[in-house]
Amino acid sequence: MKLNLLPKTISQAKAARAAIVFSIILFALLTGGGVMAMIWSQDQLQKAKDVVADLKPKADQVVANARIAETKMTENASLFRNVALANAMLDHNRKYPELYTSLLPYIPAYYRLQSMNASPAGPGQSQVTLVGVLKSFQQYADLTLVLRRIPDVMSVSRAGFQPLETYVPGLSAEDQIAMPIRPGEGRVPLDPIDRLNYYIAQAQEPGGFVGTGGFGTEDMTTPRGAMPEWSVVTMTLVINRDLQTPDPGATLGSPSGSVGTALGTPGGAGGGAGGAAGGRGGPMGLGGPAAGGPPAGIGFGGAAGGPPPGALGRGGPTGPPAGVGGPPAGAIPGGVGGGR
Amino acid sequence: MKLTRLTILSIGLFLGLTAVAFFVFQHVLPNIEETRNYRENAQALRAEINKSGMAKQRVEDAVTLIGEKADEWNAIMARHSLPGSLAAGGIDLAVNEYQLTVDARRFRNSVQSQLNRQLKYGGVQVIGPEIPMPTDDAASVLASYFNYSSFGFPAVLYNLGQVTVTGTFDQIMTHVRGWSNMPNFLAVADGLQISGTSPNMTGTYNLTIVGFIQSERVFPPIGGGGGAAPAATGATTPGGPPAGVNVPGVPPGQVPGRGGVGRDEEE
Repeated sequence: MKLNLLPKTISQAKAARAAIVFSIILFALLTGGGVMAMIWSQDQLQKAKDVVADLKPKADQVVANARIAETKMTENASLFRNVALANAMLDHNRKYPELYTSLLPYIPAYYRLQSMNASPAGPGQSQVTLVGVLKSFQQYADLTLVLRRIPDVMSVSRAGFQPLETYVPGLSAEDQIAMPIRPGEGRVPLDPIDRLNYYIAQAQEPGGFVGTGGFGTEDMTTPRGAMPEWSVVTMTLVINRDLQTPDPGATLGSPSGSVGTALGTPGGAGGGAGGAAGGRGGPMGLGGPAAGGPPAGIGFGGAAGGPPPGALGRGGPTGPPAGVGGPPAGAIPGGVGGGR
Repeated sequence: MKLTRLTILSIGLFLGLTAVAFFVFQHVLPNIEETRNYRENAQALRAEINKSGMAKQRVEDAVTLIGEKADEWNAIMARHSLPGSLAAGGIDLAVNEYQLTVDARRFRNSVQSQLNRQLKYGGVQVIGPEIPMPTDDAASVLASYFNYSSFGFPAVLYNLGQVTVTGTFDQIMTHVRGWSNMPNFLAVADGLQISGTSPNMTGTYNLTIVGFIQSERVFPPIGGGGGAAPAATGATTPGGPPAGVNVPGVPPGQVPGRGGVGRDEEE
């Protein structure tokens, strides 16, 4: 039989030493794991950075290329504006004749026109006012329906008809027959003698058209009005036609790319180019058929000083920079102050 | 006091976890987050790079579009711009501002003649509008009459107001359409109204004409003459020779800046 005669404290000290060693190993393992994780994460980060550093110049190049397109469009905004303005002006001269000519086939023969006018009522919409004469209330109704057949007509309104057709009045104490009468006329008497006198009183000297509505006059340039018993009728049409007028003054005086006030919708610059040249208005862009416009810095004797503002110089000779060229014949030479 | 084994192990574990926590929260997690950001960035960059073809196409499209518009503009200007000489119906702006006051009046008469010719287009009868007379103020003629300050380039703009023409319906329609064909100018006839009894119709409309001037150069203001032109022309260099005085290279008795081809030809 063996007896452990060593004091208890000795075995406890041994166990504590082992625990300390184990704790140190545990601490070292955990710390080492943390360090490894840190190193791994830093490695991953560095790789990602390298990839980005490799891609960025290429991406920058692509963006720079894209900006070239935008820059080109911006630089030529005035060109787009000028072309749009010129085309709008040239096109506009045809719009009113085309509108009126297209309306004429829809004007019925019984409606004799006295005047036509049209005005823009917003983008893509116009109001046309027709003034003419017609005879009957039936024609007045038919005319509205006929005008509604015009393509692109949104609405038709009418005004001005003066009804002169007879109507049957109600019975009265003096008139138990109620013969048809015209608006404003008195009732036709029942008594034959009175009725005869009534009709005699209605009689007028026959005049026909003479003196009515300008008819019967020798001056053929005077517009003819309504014939007897005809009415002057105003028809107002709202139609989907664009009559908005280009405003050269506002457009040319505005900054490049902006839109003249009366121009309506600006023309797009097209495609993916970024729309830098949106609208109309703006100065002469290209150098025109002969040469550019005035150079930015004008010098004495500087020959054609390059393209005009916003110009490409196409179609015109490109001269030396302002102040470089020699003096043209008869001009003040450029020597003043070293070629202004 | 003696520490038990459990206590010692707990301390070791605690310290180890503390170290791990330090590395994880101080380094690992931020690195992972940053790595993810960089990867997303790389993905975005790749997306941009993939647009390389589109970007090139955009540039090509822009160049093509600009070229087309330039051709279109040149075609318009070939017919609807004012020549740079008086003889051809335009005006030469490369003359000094005093000469320009003289030439501007000749130019105005030339424009009026061109307008009168166009007003009769279509066979209508017209009570014609008049082109306004240019100012005789040398300092402002370029800026005001030729709109050099407001447009930044020389062009004349005439709002001629209401024009009344008489003729048949077809004549009036032809007349109004004809403004698109006016040589040397861009004209716009607006607000056409037709009235009267056929065949004696009356048409009224508002007329505006614009003349872009093909000017190779514009003569700068002669020293201290006026305020508007220098700012407008961009001739920022101050000074300059007084009118006709001691201009180098100009013989005595001759006027500087009278090099206008059209004016010379006219004379």
